[in-house]
Amino acid sequence: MVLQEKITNIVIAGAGGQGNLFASKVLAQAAMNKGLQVKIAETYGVAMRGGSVHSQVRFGEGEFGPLIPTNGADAILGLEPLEALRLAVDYVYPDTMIVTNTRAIAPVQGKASALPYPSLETIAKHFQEIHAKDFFMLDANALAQDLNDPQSSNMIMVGALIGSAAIPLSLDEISTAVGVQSPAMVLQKNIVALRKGFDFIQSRQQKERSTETC
Amino acid sequence: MSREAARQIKPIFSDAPGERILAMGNQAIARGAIEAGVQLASGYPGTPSTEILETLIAASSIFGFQAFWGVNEKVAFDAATGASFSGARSLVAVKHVGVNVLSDSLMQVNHIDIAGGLVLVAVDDVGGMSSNNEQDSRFYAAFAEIPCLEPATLDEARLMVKTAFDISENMGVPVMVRSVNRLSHLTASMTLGEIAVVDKKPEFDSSRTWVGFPSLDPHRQLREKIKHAGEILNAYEFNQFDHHPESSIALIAGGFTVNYAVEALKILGQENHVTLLGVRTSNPLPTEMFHKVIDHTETIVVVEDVNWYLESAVLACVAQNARNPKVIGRLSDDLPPVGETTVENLTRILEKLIPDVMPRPGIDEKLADTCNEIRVKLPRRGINFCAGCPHRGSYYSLSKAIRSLDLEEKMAVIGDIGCYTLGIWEPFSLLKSMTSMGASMGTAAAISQLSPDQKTLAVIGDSTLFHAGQPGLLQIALNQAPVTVVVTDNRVTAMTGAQADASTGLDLRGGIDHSVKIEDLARAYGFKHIFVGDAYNIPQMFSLYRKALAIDAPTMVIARRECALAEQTAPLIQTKAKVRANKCTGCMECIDNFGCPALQVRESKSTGSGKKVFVDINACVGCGECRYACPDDAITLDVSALAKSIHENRRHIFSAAFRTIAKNYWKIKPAWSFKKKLRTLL
Repeated sequence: MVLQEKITNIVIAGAGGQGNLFASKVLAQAAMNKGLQVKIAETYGVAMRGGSVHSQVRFGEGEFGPLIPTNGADAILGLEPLEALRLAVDYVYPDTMIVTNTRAIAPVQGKASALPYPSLETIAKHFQEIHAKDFFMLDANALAQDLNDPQSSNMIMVGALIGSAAIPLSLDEISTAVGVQSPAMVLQKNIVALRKGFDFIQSRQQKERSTETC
Repeated sequence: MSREAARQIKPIFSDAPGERILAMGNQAIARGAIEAGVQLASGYPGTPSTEILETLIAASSIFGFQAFWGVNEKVAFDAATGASFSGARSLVAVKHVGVNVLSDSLMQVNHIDIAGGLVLVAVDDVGGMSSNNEQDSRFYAAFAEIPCLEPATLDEARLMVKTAFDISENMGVPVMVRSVNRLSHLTASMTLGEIAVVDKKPEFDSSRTWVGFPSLDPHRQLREKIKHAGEILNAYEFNQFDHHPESSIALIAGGFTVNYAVEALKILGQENHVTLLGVRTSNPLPTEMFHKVIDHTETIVVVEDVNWYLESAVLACVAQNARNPKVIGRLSDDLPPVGETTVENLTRILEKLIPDVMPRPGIDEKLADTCNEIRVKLPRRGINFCAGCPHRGSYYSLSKAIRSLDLEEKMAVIGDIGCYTLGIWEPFSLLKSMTSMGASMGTAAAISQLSPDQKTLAVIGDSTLFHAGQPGLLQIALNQAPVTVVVTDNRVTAMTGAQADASTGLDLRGGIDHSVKIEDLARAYGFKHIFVGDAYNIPQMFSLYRKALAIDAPTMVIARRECALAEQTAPLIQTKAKVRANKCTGCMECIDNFGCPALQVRESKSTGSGKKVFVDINACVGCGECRYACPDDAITLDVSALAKSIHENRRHIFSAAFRTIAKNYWKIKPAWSFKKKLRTLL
């Protein structure tokens, strides 16, 4: 994003109960540890009652506001695919990286206003149409199940975001931040989950690279 | 507990001046009060202000001061007044509508020369994101003629709250600190300051009288105080003045909106060319600085949330000044008259005003069109009751009872403020009115008397009833108004995160004390017809509502069941609902009219018989309400899991396991008779 140099803008999209705020705090803590200014803005209140939960993390040097301007995200982290698409159409810029979980949570809708939930293929097609720089879709819940830790999908997604190299934070920096933000009893689980997401994206990128060279 | 131990709990309590931590705006406000040596803090839960008092309640035992939820904001403010009369520092934290409730006291305490510093923190919900309205608290500060400070960052919030106590004591008036949702709910880095050690014991000073009557002399003194407040506030140099006398354009921004102004100027590369006055002292305003801005500009853009408080003051200064620059803002309709200030709006205005400016980079029109096309296709994720919410059972049984009595066309259902307000929308669409806290009572009383052919029903929650519903409830009884009062008693203030109230069974300082039974209250007021049921037990509630709706006199139905969010903090019930696929006919009753987020639909592959419902076990909390929303008995509870949960709790057999059985016995009772009824109502 070229709005202001040195400011990184991350939008985190999800539904209630997905650990959205924790993910944003981990990212912010990692940036703060590097001596940068950080800001997290969140939706709250009635939005928590099963609605979309959306937070924004900004970090960088100097002064900046709390909110990411429209079409100003460097990365969109989707904890739920529909919510990722919903925010992508507001915040996408040709340089935006989208990393999203594929596990859908269908919204509860009144029958009168019901619109069909788009298929994953449709969502992927829309990501292509809006010219994001690149996008990754992964089933973080399945990976969390592999780890026998269903609560860890948010950390898997943060790991995947770091693996995509879309933001200037390393896996080590994030792991240290998790140490500050996690209660001791889940710390190790969170670190393992981060690694899992990170490795998953890295290996997929390597695979893509090797198919390109073939 | 030692202060070192406090640090282990939360960094916000750490006694380490200079340390930088990640904190929320509301925590920064609370920290300011702790650093100032606050001795009493109160308020009433309300988004976006709740976390201020939550933090202070958590801090109170560590630092040894009083902190508690008020029954309403006025009681909270009156308590703070008592502290001030006793020489103690006190803080009241409320959302904007809370200022309305306490304003009666505020408008009179300002006439008294108070002793201990009294700080009123008002948090405005700009854009009405979690509120019934949008409201600008700065007008209250001007109205009450008290100083008002508006921080723009967490560090400022902490410092201004701390300083506000000094100013309040120095001047002998309450001081308002106005925050907004974006600041209160912003998480950012913040530096900790030094915590004051309080050794003064509060004592009510009865050597003088604390009254503002006869009022003319006290009012004259108040005018004198606010007239000289500017000198006191100026000494702190809160206001930020990036003065560029060569510039013909200036921005005057208030409080948190300074952030948007700074960012807009940076995006356009104008930060070193355009004058920016960042106002933090909202009452009294720095009018001398306004004149300095007016002296060199042709256009002044005024940036503020919610109304035109600053803009009208700038216009008044222009009227006194020989020069006549154009003033642009919300009042002039150049900026949107309602809702949040945005960087986008500001850059759009500035691009027009500043010649040869590089516009804010955006996306091309074709891409914007594509985004718009996608946007309209996406299903809405509306707000909804949580899985396991007792209100769902309350409303489902109520809507079926109304239908069974053929009253649908004749009902006037009046709502109130709380989670149950969601009954306005689908799938229940029951509530037809909602105004202020507790207002349903008086409103319903009048409707029932004016329009006896209609059946009037009012829905109110426990906390709202205690807060401001009691006088109206008494009015219903005194008028013998034929209202069916439904109390959705989930025993907490749920909407703001399950804070304790008078129904909880805790005293409001957190120790176990007593709870007030709402049926006792109604009985004392003279209600003759009172029904109490379990909101989860839909057949029971259905029959209670039917009985109540047939009575032509003041009637109360209490749907009692703990908030599912509060219950989750101590999960005893490990059961989950399940759908027997062979019995699910795909009628969609549970999806369309019950609407639990744990019930989802999929196309049945094996039978080819269309849609089937299934349970998302990650979302299901095992409340069992949905069993009654299925006319075909396809939804059951996994009783083996219940047995397992009892088994796991066997060591606490006299408490936990018995409680689990007692609370869930009705779940394993057959529900056939209700289901037969349900079929006839579909």
